[in-house]
Amino acid sequence: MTKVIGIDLGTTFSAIASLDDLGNPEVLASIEDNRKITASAIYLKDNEVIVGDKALTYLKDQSNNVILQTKREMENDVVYSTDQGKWVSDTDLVDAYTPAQVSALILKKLKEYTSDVKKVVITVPAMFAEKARQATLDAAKIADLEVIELINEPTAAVLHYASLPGVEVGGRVMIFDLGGGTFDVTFAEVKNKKVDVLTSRGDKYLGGRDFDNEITKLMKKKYFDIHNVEIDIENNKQYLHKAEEVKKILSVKDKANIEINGPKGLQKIEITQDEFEESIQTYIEKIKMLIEEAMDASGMNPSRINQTLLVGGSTRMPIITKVLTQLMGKPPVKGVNVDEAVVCGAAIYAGLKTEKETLSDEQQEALKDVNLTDVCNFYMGTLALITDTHTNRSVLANTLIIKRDSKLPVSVTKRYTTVNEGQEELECSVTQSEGPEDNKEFVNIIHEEILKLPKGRPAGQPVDITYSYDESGKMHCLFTDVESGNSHEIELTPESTATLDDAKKQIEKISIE
Amino acid sequence: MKFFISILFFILSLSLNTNAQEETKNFEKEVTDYIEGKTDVRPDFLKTDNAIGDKKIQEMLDKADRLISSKNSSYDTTDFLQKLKPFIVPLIVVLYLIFKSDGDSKEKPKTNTKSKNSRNRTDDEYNNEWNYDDSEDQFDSIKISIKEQIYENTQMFDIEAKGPLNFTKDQIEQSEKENEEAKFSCYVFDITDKDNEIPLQGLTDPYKDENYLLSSTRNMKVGLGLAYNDWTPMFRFPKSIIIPPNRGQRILKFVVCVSKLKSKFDQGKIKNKKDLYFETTTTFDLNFEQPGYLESEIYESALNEKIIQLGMAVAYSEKKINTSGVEAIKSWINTEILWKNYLIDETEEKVKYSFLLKNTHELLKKNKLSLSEIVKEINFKSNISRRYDAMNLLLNIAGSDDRLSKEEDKLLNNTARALELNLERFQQMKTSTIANIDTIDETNEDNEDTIFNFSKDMTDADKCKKLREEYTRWNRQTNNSNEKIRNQARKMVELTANLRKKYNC
Repeated sequence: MTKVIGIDLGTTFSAIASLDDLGNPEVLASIEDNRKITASAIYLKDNEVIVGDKALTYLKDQSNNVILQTKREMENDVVYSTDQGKWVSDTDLVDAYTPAQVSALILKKLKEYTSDVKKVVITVPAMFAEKARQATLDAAKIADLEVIELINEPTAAVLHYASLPGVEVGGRVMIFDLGGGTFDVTFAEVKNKKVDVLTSRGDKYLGGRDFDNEITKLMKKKYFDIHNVEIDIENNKQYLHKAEEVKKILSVKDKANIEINGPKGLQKIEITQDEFEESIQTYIEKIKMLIEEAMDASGMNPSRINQTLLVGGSTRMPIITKVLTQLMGKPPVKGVNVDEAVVCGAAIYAGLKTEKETLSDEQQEALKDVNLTDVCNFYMGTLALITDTHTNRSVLANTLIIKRDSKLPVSVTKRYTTVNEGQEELECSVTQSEGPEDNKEFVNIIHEEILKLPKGRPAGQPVDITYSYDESGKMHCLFTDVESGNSHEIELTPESTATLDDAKKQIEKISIE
Repeated sequence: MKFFISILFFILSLSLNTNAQEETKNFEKEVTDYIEGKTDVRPDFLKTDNAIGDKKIQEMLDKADRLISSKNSSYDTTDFLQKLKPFIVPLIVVLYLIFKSDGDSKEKPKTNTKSKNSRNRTDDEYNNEWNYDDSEDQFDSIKISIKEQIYENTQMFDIEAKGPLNFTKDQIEQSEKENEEAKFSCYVFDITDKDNEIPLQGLTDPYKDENYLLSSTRNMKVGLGLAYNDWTPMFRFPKSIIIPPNRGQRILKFVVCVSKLKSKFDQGKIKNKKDLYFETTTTFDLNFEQPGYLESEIYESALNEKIIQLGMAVAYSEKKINTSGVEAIKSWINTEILWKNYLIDETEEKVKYSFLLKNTHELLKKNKLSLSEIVKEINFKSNISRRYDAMNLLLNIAGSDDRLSKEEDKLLNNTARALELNLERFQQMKTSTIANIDTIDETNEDNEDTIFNFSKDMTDADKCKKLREEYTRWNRQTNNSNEKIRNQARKMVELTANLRKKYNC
């Protein structure tokens, strides 16, 4: 029987989970070290690859060959050069790997933790750009995985929380998801196992790795204070890894010690929790601002939020509990494994999306009351000529069709008119933005095509544009010339469209350990 | 008492169309709530591109149709009314006496349009008044009135209509030849000088006809017995495009014509009177504080010179001339002056503007250019849209060298205030400039305040709020497909977060 699988492809750690026979999510452990979470680290040399914690051991001597934080590069046109030991823009480099290829190596590794894996649900940050989602799907394709759907990480997490037998989750909840590389905050209403997502906000450049960077800066400063010598710590992956260990210690102790091997010899350095917390204040401000924004968007205030649910390893830092308690007026819910919530939720969602006949009776019973209503995370629109009421000029601007946070499924029709006499073509563009932007520079055009119109007509011919967004993130766009009935239909599904044969061949040559 | 009697009267006269009326009232309430800001849910008929859609207006007319046909169905209740017949005449007499005595004791409010005040009342008060008014406030033919509204932060003139569209049988027969449709057109005239009625100009789509007169036109399905039961937006113009010929107190006449589909207009009036089904008009007093379009023509050349001088001031804001900024000014002269005025002698004009650039540079070097005088003159001689044009040029000049210096930024902020621009809109324009440059001058600590245009009177709490808005604005752009914008957005996100720390938000 094909297994129901969920995968959390994280910045620092990844995990794979399946539904057990009783329909409960079960995180699958690595065969080698029996660990349930796998470092998203890769050691790559010639055609040999080591994925996971073992790859980190090469940071000391061969750091150029160790690839970290691939998820942060998913939307960029870059490749990893083992010669230079970093992501570079020169995509023509030989023996270099795209973010999708590197992620595929992680997925391949996770796939080995079980058998019969074909169809999966993969989680992505709520605010992941279209290009990054596409790259995630490319990675799955290279790894020979069929993706049922991508699901937003906080949405997956709240599904898991809502389904947990021992934890009482209900009412309006805030899902605070602070992972290794990204931060998402989501508001949802939970009633029994029914989850209604209200809104999500996120920052793709805020996570544990940023805190590690701040620790390396502290290390550098302290070394300088003692020896008056600058050392390049920030770009040293080995120290980045050590900083992570310091952060973990500071999550449970007041201070941590680290040895730095600089030009003046080995130096022991002490970093206190207060110093660390002071150093990450900018990030804390960002977190507060995003929560405020999400509250405004969903019409919430702290008194209306019943619970705060924590997700992601970085929520273990004491300052997070402190800030959230201060901000929300009550401490967050504790006692759930914050590293596993996302992947478990992904497995539950995979169960929901799998054909019933492939599930056992127990699995069907476990999932029967689980229900998820998600929202559209972006504004969807089209480019059209509008009158700028400040300058009284016609400008090509973004006009909104589907509003952000609209409950899915949603379908909206707006009427536009042709501009020119004898207009024979209509540029059909589909735009996506996080804000209600009218400036076309500030939106991403995710699709463009031409609709042919009949000849010889006056200006002002009505054209109806209908956007329909279903629960699975598929969007249908219909551009209809009302008079002639000519229409143009586009189905926009985040799916891998790239020809990945070469990328796949390159990966297939590699043996994964 | 009056209310109960009104209700009784309604029950007797309209007892069988309650459902239809309810439906119409819900619809009216939906619109009223939205206009008053009681709800964010935009009524369906306002959801189309130009806010008022033909289709939805048609639905509304269909509803009115249903209401009328439902009224017609009350004739089937002859038996019921026959039974009540002996009571009707005494009841009308009693009603007349009661209303008369009421009217004697205090003057009845004149409510032929629903004023803003009445809309601010509670729902109950509103509904009661509505029931009362319904019996009184009916028109014999369609009327229009003008209402100033704000939609999505933009001031608009709504041309609202109420009353029946009294098509004659002949007109309906005519419309049947044209797919049962008629053309509804709205033109605006300045009638301050009664002897010289001037149609207003329109240069912006979709608010212009083929002769560049301000207008709005739509085709709608028509039929017998259709009516607008409440004041309903029929046409809408942005206030900024209503520009009379001269400044000062003006009287505007709004004319709505209902005509055959193929009817033509000349100078805002129907060419062939036979094509006109009917028209309705209303006047509106407008205090227009900016120059009218006739004055703008006179001021044009002087205004351009002042804008160029202001541009030079931005290019010289770091006490040395920004040559790429000067190039931006030259390019603006080419496209906005020389290219648009192809009848002028280009060589002569080029010489004139070269001298102006040189002289202004000299004045700036000697610190003898009074910016406040320049801005004062621009404000007097330009309408607000020209001032936004000017600001666009200033932003182009500032960003022309791929960096925004503190001095440029400060001058831009002060100029935006002095030109009385909407600061939120200005900040949006500046955001676009910042997004496309490489460097923002952060050398001085207080420059961070300049970038976000903090004013001196802002409290720390105001600044925190503003910073959060800026953070939201820029964080959204960290997903932009343009790498330059994406990278700049990340820098700006850092900046806002750092400043929040500074202000202890």
